[in-house]
Amino acid sequence: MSLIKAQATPPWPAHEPTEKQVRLREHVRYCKEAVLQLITQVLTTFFVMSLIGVSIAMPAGTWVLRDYLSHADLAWPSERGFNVFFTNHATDSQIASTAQTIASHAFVTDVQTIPKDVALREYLTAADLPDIAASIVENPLPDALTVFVSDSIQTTKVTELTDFIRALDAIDLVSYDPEIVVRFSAIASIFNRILWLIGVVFCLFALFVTATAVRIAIQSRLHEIRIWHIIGSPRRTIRGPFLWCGTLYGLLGGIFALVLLSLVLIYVEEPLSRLTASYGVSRNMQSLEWGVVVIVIGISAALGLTSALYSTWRYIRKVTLNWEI
Amino acid sequence: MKIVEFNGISHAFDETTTILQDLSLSIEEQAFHCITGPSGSGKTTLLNLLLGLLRPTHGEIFVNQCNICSLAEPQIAAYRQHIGTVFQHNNLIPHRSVYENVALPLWLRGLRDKAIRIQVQEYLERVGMAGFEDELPPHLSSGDQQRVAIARALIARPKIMVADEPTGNLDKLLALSVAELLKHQTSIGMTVITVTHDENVAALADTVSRLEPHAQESGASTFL
Repeated sequence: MSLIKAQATPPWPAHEPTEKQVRLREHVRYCKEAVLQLITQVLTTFFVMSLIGVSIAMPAGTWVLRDYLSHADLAWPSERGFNVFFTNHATDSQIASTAQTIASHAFVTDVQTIPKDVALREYLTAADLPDIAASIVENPLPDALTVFVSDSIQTTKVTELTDFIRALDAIDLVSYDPEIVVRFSAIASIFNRILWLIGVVFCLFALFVTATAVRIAIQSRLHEIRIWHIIGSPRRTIRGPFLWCGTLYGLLGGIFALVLLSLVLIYVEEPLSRLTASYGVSRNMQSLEWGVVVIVIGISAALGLTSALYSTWRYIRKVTLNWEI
Repeated sequence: MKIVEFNGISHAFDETTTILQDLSLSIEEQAFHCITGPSGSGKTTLLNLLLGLLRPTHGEIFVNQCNICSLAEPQIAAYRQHIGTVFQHNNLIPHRSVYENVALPLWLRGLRDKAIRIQVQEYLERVGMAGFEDELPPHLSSGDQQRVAIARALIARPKIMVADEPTGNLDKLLALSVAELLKHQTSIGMTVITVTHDENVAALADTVSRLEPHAQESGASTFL
């Protein structure tokens, strides 16, 4: 028997298409099949979608709230600002020139003047004592400044600045306690780290749930996978519908998370608005920003795809390597 | 010209279970070749080796002068696109319609739906199953399921058709019609290799090989 030397190419070339259009058509088919799979197993789909949704909504909700609070400028105290109080004898021109001097300092981003009349009025309103105003002969409150400094400035530099201000004329008190600032800064840092940990743990949970759902989908279609295998499907083609399945689970989970998030925001909107209004800030909490929507959907779809990639790599490989008719 | 050559093939599932031993066989192009033998003699294993679903413990398998044992998985998949397969059972995907089952190999090629529809229609007519496009396989008789499986195997226009007991669960008349359908493929350039217990099918074959276990050895088979 004459035998030709072994070759690394198959006896006949593959029928595989290479055109981009055909690849697109393939993906449309995979997507259709995945949608069909999700529809036929509607309860499983809902269960998986809910689990992913809750897993994504937890870190996303915390993040949205933190983002909201930091935007509203009422976040945990930081090195960003402090108050300067004048003596009772300070004149308007002294106050104006001091404010100008402080504003020209390199670390200072803004200086706001709070006249003592305004301060008294705000105090009486906040304390619900407007009727007493008429009976006050002399305003006991001093004029004040709120000084804002750049976020990037270290606490030691702010201390230097406050020492400089204390040395100016007509200054009675500079209300800046670096220890409190450091403590609050540390609390904020812990909060941020916990937020990240919650995010990672819940995303891992979402990954696990999606990977399991895709594995179940693979196992429920073992016979079909074997037939695809025997007619010469490349592994890529066999994996396609399952990858779409995972991605769709992720997308639906993301949408579910956004719905949950919106409901929670509607629920907490009233007390939160009251809180922020007390700081003189108003912001609509009821609608999510587009950025948040895109990030949540993107992350959940990516998680779904990653889980599906793992499951198909792990289990379809097993099916195709351990074939028996 | 020889299209398939088994050269000194041995296959063992483990150290104690040797199924095939030092087996050599050549099959001519466009032949209708039957492999017969008792149950457990390794006929199906031989087909699995030819399909590249199993790798032999020893020996080489040449198809169109290419050693398929040296191919990597993606090349094996490409090779299988040129092999039509029909089994005794479980040929079809039960939750897919007859149309979808037959269209599977064409989906792989990325053809447009219109082109697929025309070809599926043509091949279903060829096997006498036109009009059953929307049926689900479990609603068909065994004979009809075999015909659909043959249509799916043929639609890929394979170079070789491999059939494992294609008439195993059919009555005599149906079995003969399926066998004749397979035999007919050789006249249009295909090589058909079938495993069968059915003497009527074997009678239609151009060549027949009988696989027998060696009495002295541990159950391993070779050709008589």
